[in-house]
Amino acid sequence: MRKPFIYSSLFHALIFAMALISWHWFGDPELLDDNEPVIMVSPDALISPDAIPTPEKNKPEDAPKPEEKPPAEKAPEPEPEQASPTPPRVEEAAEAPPPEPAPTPEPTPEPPKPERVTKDLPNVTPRDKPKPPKKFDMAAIEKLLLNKTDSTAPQTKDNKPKKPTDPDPSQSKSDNRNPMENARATANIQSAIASQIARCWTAPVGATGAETLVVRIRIYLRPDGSLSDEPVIVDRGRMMSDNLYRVAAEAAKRAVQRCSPLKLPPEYYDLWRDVQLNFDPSKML
Amino acid sequence: MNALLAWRRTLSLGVLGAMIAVGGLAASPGAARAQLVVDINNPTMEPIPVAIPVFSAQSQVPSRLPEMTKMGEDMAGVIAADLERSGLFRPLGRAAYIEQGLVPERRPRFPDWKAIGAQGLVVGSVNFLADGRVEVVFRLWDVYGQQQMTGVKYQTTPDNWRQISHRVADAIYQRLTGEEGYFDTRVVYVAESGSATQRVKRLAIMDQDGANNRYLTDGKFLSLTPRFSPSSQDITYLSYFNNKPRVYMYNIDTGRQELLGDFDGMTFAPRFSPDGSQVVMSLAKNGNTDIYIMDLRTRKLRQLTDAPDIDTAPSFSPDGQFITFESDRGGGQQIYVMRADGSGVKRISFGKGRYKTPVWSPRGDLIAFTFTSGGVFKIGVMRPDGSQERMLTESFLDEGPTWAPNGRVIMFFRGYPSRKGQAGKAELRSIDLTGRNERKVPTVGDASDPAWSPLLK
Repeated sequence: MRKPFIYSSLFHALIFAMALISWHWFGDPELLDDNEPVIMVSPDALISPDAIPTPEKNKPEDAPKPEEKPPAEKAPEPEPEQASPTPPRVEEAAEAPPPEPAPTPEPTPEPPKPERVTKDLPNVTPRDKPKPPKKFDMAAIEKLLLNKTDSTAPQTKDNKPKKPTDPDPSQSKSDNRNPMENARATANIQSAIASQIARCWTAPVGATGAETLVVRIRIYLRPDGSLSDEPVIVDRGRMMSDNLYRVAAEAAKRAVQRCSPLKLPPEYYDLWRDVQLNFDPSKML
Repeated sequence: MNALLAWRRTLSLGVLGAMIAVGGLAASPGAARAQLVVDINNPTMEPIPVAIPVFSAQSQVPSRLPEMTKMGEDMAGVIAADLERSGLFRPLGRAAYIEQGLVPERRPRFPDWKAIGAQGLVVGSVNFLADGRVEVVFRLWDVYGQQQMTGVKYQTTPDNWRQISHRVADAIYQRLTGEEGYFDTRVVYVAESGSATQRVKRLAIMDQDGANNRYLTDGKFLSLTPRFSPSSQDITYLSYFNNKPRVYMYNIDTGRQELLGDFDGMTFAPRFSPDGSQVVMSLAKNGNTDIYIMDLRTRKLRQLTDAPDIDTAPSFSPDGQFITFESDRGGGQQIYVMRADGSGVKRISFGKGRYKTPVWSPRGDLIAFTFTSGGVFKIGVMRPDGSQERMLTESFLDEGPTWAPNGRVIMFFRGYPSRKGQAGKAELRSIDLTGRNERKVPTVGDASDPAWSPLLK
């Protein structure tokens, strides 16, 4: 329960720091103070850009009625992505911007079963392994790996908020999944996520050193496919030091937000509740 | 599916490794977390949708309000046009906007902008101040992140509105791409008019979007290859004044022209050094053409190449350490790189065809050039070591590349065949480094030989 809160706090602190930095940057009088326009502008023209602070976040909205907002049909240029319309939940959250990271009601932080191992986490032990293997036994381990999913699936159900009841027919329908089915479902989910988010992702084309701008973002999802928390940029340190990376990371984050909610099979929620996205624009050019 | 299997294998090995590492310790339940890793490597090449509502207008002098209202519309128009031309942004049509009456002092209703698919929202205002100046304020909002990405306030005279618009566009471009913008720049070029036999070529200058066109020379003498100084309001170019082709300097502010050294032989293909203190050029005498460099203070000329061939079209690397140039010393025209003192000459182009007019990118990573083979002209780029050669354009005649100051857009000119004594049309065009966004640059008449200015100060 604590981890997302910590992430969220860090992230907010980061945003605040970024705001401070950019504020100073634009406020730097040396940058533009003596900018005399050259020709075809009057010689006495003085251009003095100043940073302007963001309007108060807590300021009451003039027209805080998101529900009355005409839906997408009013827009003559509908986005091709079906993901464009944001779910009302997210919008409500947006309308009342909490100054602090609101504790999420989701139990997401404590996923009971380690289905997959992150590249980042070298030391992962299958968790609901009841008996530790006494000696090295390849077959036993394989078996363990394969069984793990099945044994944890029911658990998921218990801990999770109830899933939407109508399963996506395009996906596997069974709850009693065998390893092969799990593997297939995982592959399908990976490609579903990749293709949905890729459509929302406009990468910084032609950026210097674009091939190094791999952005990793961790997201936590609700059973309806919406974001349960702010997407977390894994390499946050680089946001501060590398302007191009920061832009790339923001673009990746926008892609995630724009694509929310993801359309994923609810019966496999245990597979996709916690996702790390690796945005790699290196193949673009 | 293959990827998945590979992934599963990695996973198994990883877990295996982990188990070996813990040496048979009891697996602690809940220690690890399920996480699905998804690689996304095919971003859309679509431009970023941005909404740019008309800037709201105010005036401390009531009679100027109508003027401000028009300025607010015009500014939004110039900003949208700049961003659109870059190929990286798609300004959304105003008819779709749901929320109206935005002002920079108030947070926008983000759901209204999400609903039309805007990722960025530009909210600005113009205010005529009692002292006769105009205050322009704008904010760029991240619609999905619901936060300000940048915000700037400018105060200037009303007739500067166009330049301020370009600066706003530059600020937006920079914030959303991470690279410096190039909208507040100008282009000097050769304006062409008249028939094929009586072609008049004079220097002209305009904003990068074609506005504010102005002629610098009167056309009595042929003027060619203008190049901007990186640091001053000077242009160096070739003029056939009194039918003697020589390199001149022209000051944009004063209109003063000046011959750069009076030498035996003809000088041509001039270009400034990155600090603006020197000009490299070709000097042809006694039937040989070599590259020379002139110190603009002392006016002393120093010879850099000494080969019995034509060495021309020199261009400095942005750090001033190297010069790239074209030479036919290897048979046909090819591109070479040498140190700024003329030593260490190395050929970098080896394709079948002729390589001409190399120009070093302002960010140093690429050299643009004209390539011609089999009656076709192309604009291409390669790395300074000659690797990663890529062609970006192709036509009957594409020549004279020049870089935008941020090094990601190239302008060049395209010529069309002449017919029945009618001079062939010539136009300026621009192309993105990706090769995807080729545009015609609007000019008053026929135009060739563009040179992009640095960002205006």
